[in-house]
Amino acid sequence: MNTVLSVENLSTYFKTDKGIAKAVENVSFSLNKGEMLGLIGESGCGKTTVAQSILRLIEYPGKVVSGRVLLNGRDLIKASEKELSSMRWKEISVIPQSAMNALNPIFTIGDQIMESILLHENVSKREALQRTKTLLELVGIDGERWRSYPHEFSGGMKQRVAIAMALACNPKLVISDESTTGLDVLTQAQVIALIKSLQKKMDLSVILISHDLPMVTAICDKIAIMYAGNIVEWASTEDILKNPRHPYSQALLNASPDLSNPEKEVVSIPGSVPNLVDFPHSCRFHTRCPYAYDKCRQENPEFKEIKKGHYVACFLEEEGNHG
Amino acid sequence: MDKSILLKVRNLKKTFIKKSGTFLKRKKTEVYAVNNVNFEVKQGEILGIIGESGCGKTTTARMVMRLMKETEGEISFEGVNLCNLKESETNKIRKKMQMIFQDPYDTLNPGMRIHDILMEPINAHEKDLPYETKYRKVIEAIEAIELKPAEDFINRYPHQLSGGQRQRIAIARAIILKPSFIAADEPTSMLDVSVRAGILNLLLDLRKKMGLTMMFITHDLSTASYMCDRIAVMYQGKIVEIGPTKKIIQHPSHPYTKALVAVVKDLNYFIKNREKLILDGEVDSTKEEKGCPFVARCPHKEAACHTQVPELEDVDKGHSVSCHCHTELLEKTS
Repeated sequence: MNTVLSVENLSTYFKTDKGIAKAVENVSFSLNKGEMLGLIGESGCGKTTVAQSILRLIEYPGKVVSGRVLLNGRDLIKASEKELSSMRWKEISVIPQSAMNALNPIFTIGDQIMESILLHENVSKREALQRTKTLLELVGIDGERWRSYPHEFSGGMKQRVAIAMALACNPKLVISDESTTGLDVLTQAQVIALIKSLQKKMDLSVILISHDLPMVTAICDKIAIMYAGNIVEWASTEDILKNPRHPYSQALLNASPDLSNPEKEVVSIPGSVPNLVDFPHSCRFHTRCPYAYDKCRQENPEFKEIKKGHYVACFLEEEGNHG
Repeated sequence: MDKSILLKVRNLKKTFIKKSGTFLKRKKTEVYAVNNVNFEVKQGEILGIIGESGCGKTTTARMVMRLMKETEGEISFEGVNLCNLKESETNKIRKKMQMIFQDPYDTLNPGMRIHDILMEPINAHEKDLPYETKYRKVIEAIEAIELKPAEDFINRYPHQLSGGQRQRIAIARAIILKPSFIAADEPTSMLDVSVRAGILNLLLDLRKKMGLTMMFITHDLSTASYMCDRIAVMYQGKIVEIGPTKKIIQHPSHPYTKALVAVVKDLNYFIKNREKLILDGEVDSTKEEKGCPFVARCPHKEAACHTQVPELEDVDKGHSVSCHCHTELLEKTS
């Protein structure tokens, strides 16, 4: 399989009054063609910062301090602004977190989708309109509604428009950043179903950023779990579900109730997320980890492959004394 | 009826006036937020109310808690009709029923210390107690919500606590007067997964220890199934299905509940069969009431669904559903 995106040792820091916040540190993963990767974690763990770093949208006081982001072999971190704008939309695009705010209220949705097509491709206005209509049909909206303004649509439909827009220039990689959060359960499921079917139809690679573990496990091929700026585990969905290795992954799986297993007792994770400012060089989960020992407090575990395609950052793996 | 019923709600309605049109042609339309809702909560039970945003869950709770006046209907608590009480009498009842709100960042006054926040309900209802007794109550409440040591917390301000700790303080404030009934309005939806479980288990624990009766409002079916003995499913201001949690999860009868259960139980099944489960439709609560509220999104609709409002009917003991087609649907699935 060919790799579409590969992120290597990416670190993004933010300057704050109190010191440097290591929002994302040493994050590595890759994405194959036609693959759907779920990037999950709690609020503030750095999911969105990873996405923004990939898209080079980090602005002062934030900075990508190290690492490479290879999109089809080209390093996005080193790319010039001009190269970037030619790649955005055409090769990589985003479905934003809240479509309600992402659409401009004073333009029709047709104008907004056409704008991105006309800006990036050398086509006539008529052709762009034709494509806009096809795109709307693709996401289940009547093509003739291109004349409508965003306020005429419901939340779920606006989200569909945002999806249509992200697909306007046939990108190869789409990043969906919590794009269904805030929608009602059924609307959310319908939008997710749409993303999944489009992904299959167009052979897209998708990074699905979410905090909803059951949803991600249902539709993603692979899952990367983030905690406090690190990816702690990255593996196929099956491995994460059946054989989670990192204590945080295990705890996360035990924390939410499961409808198909009513007997399951949910367990919370004691403590709270550490402050990321000037975090000492240690495992970031050690303050809440039931298995933590001296080494965890002094060193940061390496993100290692323990089995083909299954990566974990935990000292317990090296010692072979997993609890 | 039997004595064990703590709260009884009959034909509860709430309408809001929606103004529309231009200055000269102003139109006023009535919007039903809660439309003819009936339910009972038994002593010691947790009744879950689930539904999507805008379906009237919170409005129902606010009316039960007397934070909002109903348009029509009757709410009786321990046999007393709350709707006709004077303000002073309502205040006395409030000691017995308390509410936990959704957003722990909004419900605690940022200028007050935890000590003062927890003293407030005592001062409102048991002012004449000596200070030592009041102080002991505060400490006991903090210990009950598992923040230890309690003395460490009483002088803190809300901003010095994490989200989960704040929600615990909000729970302490609700239980400090030893109420018999608590309405919890989405108490965990603002919290991260890792702390959510702690709050849910705490509430279950308090129910056991204090014999609490609860109304638990949520939009998340899996949380409801973990917490509740019975579940009422609301859609557009109406209860469309109500019954024991197990029945609702294993044999959902209303098409809306069916879709909801499918999504949460097996998203892949939902994705494959979504045309059979739910249609893309607009939710519009301003429309005049005619027919079933779910008709726009229902894949099984028949002629009667457009014209006749379905009533809640028993399908099994304690399990009722309001759907014209539920008997045929039942046959189809079994």
